[in-house]
Amino acid sequence: MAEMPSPEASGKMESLSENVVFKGYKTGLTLVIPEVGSWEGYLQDLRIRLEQSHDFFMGAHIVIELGKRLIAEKERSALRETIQAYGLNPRFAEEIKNKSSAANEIEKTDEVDQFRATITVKKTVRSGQRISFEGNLVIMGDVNPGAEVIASGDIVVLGKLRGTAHAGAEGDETAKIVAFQLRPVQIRIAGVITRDSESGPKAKYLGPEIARIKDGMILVERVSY
Amino acid sequence: MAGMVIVITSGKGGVGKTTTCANIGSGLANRGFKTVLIDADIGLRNLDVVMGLENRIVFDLVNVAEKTCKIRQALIKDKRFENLYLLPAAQTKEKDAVKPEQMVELCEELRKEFDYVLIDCPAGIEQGFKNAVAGADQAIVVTTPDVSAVRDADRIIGLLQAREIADPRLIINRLRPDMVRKGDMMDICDVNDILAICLLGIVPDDETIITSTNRGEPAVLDANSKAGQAFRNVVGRMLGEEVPFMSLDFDLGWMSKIKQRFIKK
Repeated sequence: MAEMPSPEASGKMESLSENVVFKGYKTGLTLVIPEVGSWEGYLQDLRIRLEQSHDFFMGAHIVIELGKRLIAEKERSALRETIQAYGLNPRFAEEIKNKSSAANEIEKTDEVDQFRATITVKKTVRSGQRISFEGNLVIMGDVNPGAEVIASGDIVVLGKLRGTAHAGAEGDETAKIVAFQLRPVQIRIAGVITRDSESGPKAKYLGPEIARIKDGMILVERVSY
Repeated sequence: MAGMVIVITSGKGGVGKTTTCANIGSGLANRGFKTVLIDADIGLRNLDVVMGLENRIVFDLVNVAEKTCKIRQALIKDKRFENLYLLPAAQTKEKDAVKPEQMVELCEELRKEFDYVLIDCPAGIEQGFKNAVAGADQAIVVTTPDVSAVRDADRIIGLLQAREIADPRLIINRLRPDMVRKGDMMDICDVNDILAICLLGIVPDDETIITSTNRGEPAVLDANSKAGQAFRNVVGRMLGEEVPFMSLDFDLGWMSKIKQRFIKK
């Protein structure tokens, strides 16, 4: 377990212009550490993120993207160990191929990629836990009240959705939220927010439901394919 | 064989962690297991009062962690049982007086000598919680059938699983059969539906608990107490016995509710 951030460290984190970013591409998970800014600050931020993600990334392969930043071999192995401590398998981007720069790579992927990366979470997301992903998110379990699931693409819950869900978090209005049982506290798609009706707490179970945007409003209906 | 370290936690305060800890501890000791209770609620210690051992405290958890005394010196032997001990919390210190590593070390020491090490966790998810769970192998989550208590229990289960205490077990405390029947209280199905973990026991709301707590005599020893019976059942289940859930008078209401659900569908 990493130590919790000291107040000083979290203050430093806020002053950073950018933070470390986890990105999901068709090729897999990528960790982008900005080229400029305090290395220590980013490391701290990374630890906080990994701490918050609990065992969410457990066993995943991750490519570390440093851009043009040059770091000493010591720092390199320290970073690798930090990430391994959370159960991930890190590799450095330049170890795979050291030609194309980070920025080009990202743009190219976005252009070409019609299919978003999708990850599957095989557990119940409990209160206070937050799962966010650039791509589609499939949860094999429930999303309990007080939990948040966020995806830039669609969200599928193979269970009961009772927490907060945000699909199309980067503005994709075609994103959808599907659940076996859709009883969320709040759902958001792109910039549209809707909340649960406050009338009957135990409405009749109708079967799987889907939420999507229609005419600027979130519409929830039964899934009928 | 090394002993088992079990943390008793809830997230929300006032749901009965300390009472549960005292009762399970006494129950295990009554069955002949060598048991030690650790009060990890530094600054708000209660377990000693519930056990009726307050006036015997000389050294406490912080002294042990700081190694200003030996573990043996800080352990208080129970009045009733030869094989039940209490390690009290410090009242004048704060939660950060102990570090998780020190708790791990302490638990490792104690498990060599005891069959069961029960840790009474403070409310909240901050330092006190981190200390209490640091050395634990297993966890018992206590909740009451309130929406807020269940929500907090859910959070705690998530945190426990992140710490690789994978299969916490649940005790639903202070269930009021009459209120459940009227539909004014969450029933066991509702709680189970959200938390979805193994149910270790259901303890009915019982006035005798209040008197026994104030007197410093765990209800588990009172043959006439319903809550005491429920805790005896919990102890039985912890020891791997197949104990059917108590036939409280809410059984009828509960079953009929399930039937109603089926009819609705």
